[in-house]
Amino acid sequence: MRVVTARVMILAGLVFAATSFTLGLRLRIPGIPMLSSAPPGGAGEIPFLPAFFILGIMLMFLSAVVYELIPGRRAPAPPARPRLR
Amino acid sequence: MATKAQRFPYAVGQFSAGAYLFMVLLVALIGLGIYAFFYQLTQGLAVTGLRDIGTMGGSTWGLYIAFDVYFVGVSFAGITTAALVRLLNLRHLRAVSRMAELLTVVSLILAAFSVLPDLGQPLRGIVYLLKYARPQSPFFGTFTMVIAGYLFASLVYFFLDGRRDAALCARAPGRLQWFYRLWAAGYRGTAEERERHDRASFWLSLAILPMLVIAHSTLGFVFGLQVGRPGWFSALQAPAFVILAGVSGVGLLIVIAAIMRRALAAEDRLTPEVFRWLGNLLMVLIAAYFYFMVVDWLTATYAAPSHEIRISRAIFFGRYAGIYWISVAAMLGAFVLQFRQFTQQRYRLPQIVASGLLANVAAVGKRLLIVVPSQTHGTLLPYPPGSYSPTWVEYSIILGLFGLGTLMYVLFSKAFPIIELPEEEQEG
Repeated sequence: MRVVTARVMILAGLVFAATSFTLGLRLRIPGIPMLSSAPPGGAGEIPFLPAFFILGIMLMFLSAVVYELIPGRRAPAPPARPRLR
Repeated sequence: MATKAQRFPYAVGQFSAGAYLFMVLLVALIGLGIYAFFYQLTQGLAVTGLRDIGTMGGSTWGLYIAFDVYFVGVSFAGITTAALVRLLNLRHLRAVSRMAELLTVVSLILAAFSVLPDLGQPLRGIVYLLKYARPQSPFFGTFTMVIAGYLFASLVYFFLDGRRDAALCARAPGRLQWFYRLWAAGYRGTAEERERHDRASFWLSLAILPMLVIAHSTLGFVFGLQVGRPGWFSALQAPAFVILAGVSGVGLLIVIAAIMRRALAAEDRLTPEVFRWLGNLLMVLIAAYFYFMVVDWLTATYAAPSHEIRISRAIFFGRYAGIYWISVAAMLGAFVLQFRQFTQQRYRLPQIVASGLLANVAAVGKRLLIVVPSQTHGTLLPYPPGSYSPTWVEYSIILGLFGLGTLMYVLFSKAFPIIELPEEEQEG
């Protein structure tokens, strides 16, 4: 659970940061005509993209805290000793 | 039952009369800085020495930006040292690890604060950067990578690395027990927790190092990508920024470690081996920076365009020659001091500390020379050479920032062990 959560956070952060960076660059992305047709360097960019980029980076590093703080799965109890009849 | 508060190691929780006096002095410095800041905020940037480039013959960036770059540079050493200690398993350097991490956090906060007075409307600047900054601009990188990403990553590293000592401190009753418990966050020191911490720290260090290089390079790009500004436009700006950051940061870390060694009587932890290692690292970084300086000299004087030559003359023989040659002499002095010890294999603490101080004098001078001359003497339009002289407002704000940084450092060292507690106490 702990490892999965941390990995999901890293992945989500990476996607968040990369997406906001790419949208900020206004790269021509196939399938998104609105962005592709936007004039480069024009005003009216998607606001608060830098904030999303920062959040993405923070999420990635926060995964280390989650990894350390969420308690791990309890070790399985040792198998019971076979009784001698 | 424990009725008397247990004494913590490394003077945690102990305040002498001298410490109080020192803190009063620091608070006074901060007060002066705040007064100057609000004076500037109400009167406008006209009370500073900053003026428009060209038309007013001035410089729009001055002391604030020079020290912003300096503080960001200083932060380099902290987290680099901590990451290298972790990645290369340099156990003898663990004693300076927390000092280095704290240096990073404090200097990044100071860097953020030193940008604010340079903006006529600080609040508007912050909101607009969050709202409109574009990845094409290097400011996007400095704002997101340095201030947000780098600072946040350092805080995460700092928090996780301090949990073990916080758990140890939380065992003793005291006024700050709640703080230690909060920081420890349930840490018990089991083998599983230690193993998990080692793994997390390793990956965190591995992630921080490239981000650190990107962040410092981006700061260099703020200057290096300005094609219309002679003196700045250079491919060497970014790598030179990284190296000079290392020089100033390692130098300051040496000075702080020496002060702590003396103040906390921690000779057993901060051994000569620690200073020898840091001193040698400083020497290598200075040598690398000299290489950049020589390459820069040659390029700027061999067959450079007239605008580049005008700036070079102002720096080498003109208005800025004093700062330049003092910086070169300080850098050379720092190198010679270290190199002599290295060849003789006999290291003396005062000399290592002196080289750390000299390296920082040189770094401040070089930062000023990077920021100012290209604005006063680097206009492509036919304006006469300008000038820049900081006023008392700028000096006061910078002094206030130094006071704030020192106070944060002193207060933290009084609340938490500034040197990592040794391993044997862990099992206690």
